[in-house]
Amino acid sequence: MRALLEIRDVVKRFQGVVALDGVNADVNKDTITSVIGPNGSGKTSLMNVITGFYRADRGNVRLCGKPFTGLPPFRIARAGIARTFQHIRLFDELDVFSNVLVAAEQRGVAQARQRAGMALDLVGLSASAHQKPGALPYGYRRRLEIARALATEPQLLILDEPAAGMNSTEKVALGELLREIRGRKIAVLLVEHDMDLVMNISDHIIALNFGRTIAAGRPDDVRRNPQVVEAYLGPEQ
Amino acid sequence: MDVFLQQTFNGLALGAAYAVFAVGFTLLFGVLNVLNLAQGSIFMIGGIVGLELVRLVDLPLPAALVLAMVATGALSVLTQIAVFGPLERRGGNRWMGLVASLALARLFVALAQEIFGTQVLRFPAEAWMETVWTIGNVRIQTLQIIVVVTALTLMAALAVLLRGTQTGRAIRTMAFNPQVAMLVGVPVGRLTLLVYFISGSLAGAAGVQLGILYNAVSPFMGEMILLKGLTVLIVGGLGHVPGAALAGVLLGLTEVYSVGYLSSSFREAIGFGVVFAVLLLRPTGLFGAAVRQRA
Amino acid sequence: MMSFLASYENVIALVLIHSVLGIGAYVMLSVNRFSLATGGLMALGAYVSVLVTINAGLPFPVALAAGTLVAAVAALILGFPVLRLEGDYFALATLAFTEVVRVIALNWESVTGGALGIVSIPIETRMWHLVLTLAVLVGGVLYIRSTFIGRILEACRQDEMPAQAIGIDVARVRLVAFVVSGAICGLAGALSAHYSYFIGPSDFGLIRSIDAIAYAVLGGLGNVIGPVIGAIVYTVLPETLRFSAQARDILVSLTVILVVLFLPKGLLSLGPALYRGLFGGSRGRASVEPEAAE
Repeated sequence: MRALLEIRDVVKRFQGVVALDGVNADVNKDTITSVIGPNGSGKTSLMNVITGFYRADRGNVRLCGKPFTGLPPFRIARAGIARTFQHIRLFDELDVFSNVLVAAEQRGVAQARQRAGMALDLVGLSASAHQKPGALPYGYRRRLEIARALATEPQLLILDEPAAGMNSTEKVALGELLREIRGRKIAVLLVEHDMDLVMNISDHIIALNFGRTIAAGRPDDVRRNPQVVEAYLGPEQ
Repeated sequence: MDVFLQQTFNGLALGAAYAVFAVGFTLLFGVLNVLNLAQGSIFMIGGIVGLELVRLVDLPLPAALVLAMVATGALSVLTQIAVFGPLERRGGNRWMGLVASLALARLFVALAQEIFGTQVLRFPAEAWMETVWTIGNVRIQTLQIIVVVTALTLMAALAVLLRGTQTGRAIRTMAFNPQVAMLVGVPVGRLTLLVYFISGSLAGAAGVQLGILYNAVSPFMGEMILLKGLTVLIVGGLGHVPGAALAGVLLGLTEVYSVGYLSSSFREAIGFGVVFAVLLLRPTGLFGAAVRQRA
Repeated sequence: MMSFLASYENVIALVLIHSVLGIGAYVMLSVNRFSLATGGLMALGAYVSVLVTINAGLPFPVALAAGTLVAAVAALILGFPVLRLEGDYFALATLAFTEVVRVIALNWESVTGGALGIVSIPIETRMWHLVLTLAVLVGGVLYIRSTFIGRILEACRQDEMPAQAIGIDVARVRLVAFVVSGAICGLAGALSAHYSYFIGPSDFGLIRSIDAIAYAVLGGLGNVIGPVIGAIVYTVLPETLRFSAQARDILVSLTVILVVLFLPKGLLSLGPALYRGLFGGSRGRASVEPEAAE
């Protein structure tokens, strides 16, 4: 079975700094995949390459077998990859419903309102539809961003540190939401630092360090992988 | 050959004045990321103040120049305190600052017309205005020498400040990364005012210099220099100080050489054509990227 | 009443033309791009339309269409390379464009009459043309902004990255906006040229571009009515005070500076502020304050 997303030998340099040094990874349908790694290991850069905000210097990324490296972000979005951002980026001057509606409309204006409503329902924000994002608590702002991404009916949802700034109750709720999303046949790829969350919900984990994949597999395997341990805790004394 | 040498010298003198203006202009962008479109009007005020000090108050030229520079420096600081500073603190759209600077330019031009009238003003006949030196077949006017010497002095002083003093290093740190500068204790507020002062006084100096070269100042001289200044800035690279100086000199030379072959306004069109070409092919300018690092 | 209107006909016509220009500037500002191409595009519309009426002898509507079309096409051609540029550079490139057009108009004497311009332009523009144009523009923009297109524009303006991430081709949106803005400026130029029997290069310089932006900023960018209000204030205010030309400039530029500093949302924002001041707050969305916030 072909992976939904195939990342092959991706290299990205910034003026002498190598952010990604030949990353290889697969993301499968109907899974929650987490990307972990210490700061600077290239996680966000990888997300940016996948979603087209960075252009890879080498390597390619395929969705359902079709390569799309080098395409502008909006084409990649239309192809079925949606995302949220490390620092939540909402349309603060539009109300909650409109934030999601504008995304839904990109899939087609006809049923957009229904789709937007369903996305808001899924994240539990229907009651706040007419508020401005600024009035929402932080956890809900994150959910709104997720709803907006979902309204484009993606095949793959990429989340960049969605749990940052959340308390433990919110993180549990987030985990539930991600499982729900997976249940709706949307693959989830997340970059996350919170190990509890990652170990709890992931079907598959990819560990990066220095821009390379150092381990990939089931949570238990990756957790015990010596290279991963070393990356996080430093070399054995 | 003599004609060429003559033109070259004329071009260098003109270019020297352009370089001074361009450096003041680009410094503000390079250090503070401000594109101050009122810079042309500040240049004009410097020229008028300098000339009137000589004409009405009978000051010797060096004193008039210095006072004009102080006046325009102070004016520039005033715009920071009253307009650009508050805008920066409020945040929001970048082009609000452009709108404000354009309105300031218009305000200053109108004020200058109110105070000094709309006519072209000229320097009174003085010794330094008239003497000419002849080397071979090349005529060098004293006033051209004055302009070049002034320009070199100012550039040297600026270079010493930026490279050789602690203040200069602090300024360069601010240019590189304002957040880092604050973290390491650079007095960003005060240095911002200093940079505005330098930028304004250089514009004023250039105003006096061009006033000398053409023996004419008027409230309308700001618009043309602004356009030329922008051309120089883009070619030299926005924020790149040596690039601006070099491009300024090049502009002076190009203008003088092409006088013989093209009408003045087609020269302008070529200038803007060059701007287009540079913007499209190499927006960071010919002399390399003055990339602002931000945290 | 009618005689009052008649004696101020000129001012009213100016206000209408300026309003149209202000809307042209507003269209670009609403996709977050600072364009100084207004003057150049208006010049193209003006000169082309006049050549159609005088040289080709074609009827006025054809001239209007020609002016509008040429300006729109110019915006399309200019837009491709120039819209890629980031904010400051884009502004400078459009500035260069306006200046190039002015310089060409100044020198291409055989076609444009050079510095002396073109005289004896048939005065075809009637007040109702101007009123109709403005009404259609305002109505059109209000309608479009209420549809899904309006939301796309807002997304592009507020935050480009997530706009891309939901599949909006922001570059294409900006190009379309630029072409629309060009058409509007070209039409304004054509109408304006046939209102006064003379046009010259100095009518279309940088000042035009700056003024158009000033109308939009002064009035407020939240709504297409903003540029209209701004044009009214900017044009009428100096007329009511019979000061010297310089004093008017001083007044008008001070107003712009004060608005930029203290009323960033423009004069339009005075409306809701006044309303709240008079009737007290607490109605509708405006007052959803964070009891819910952490």
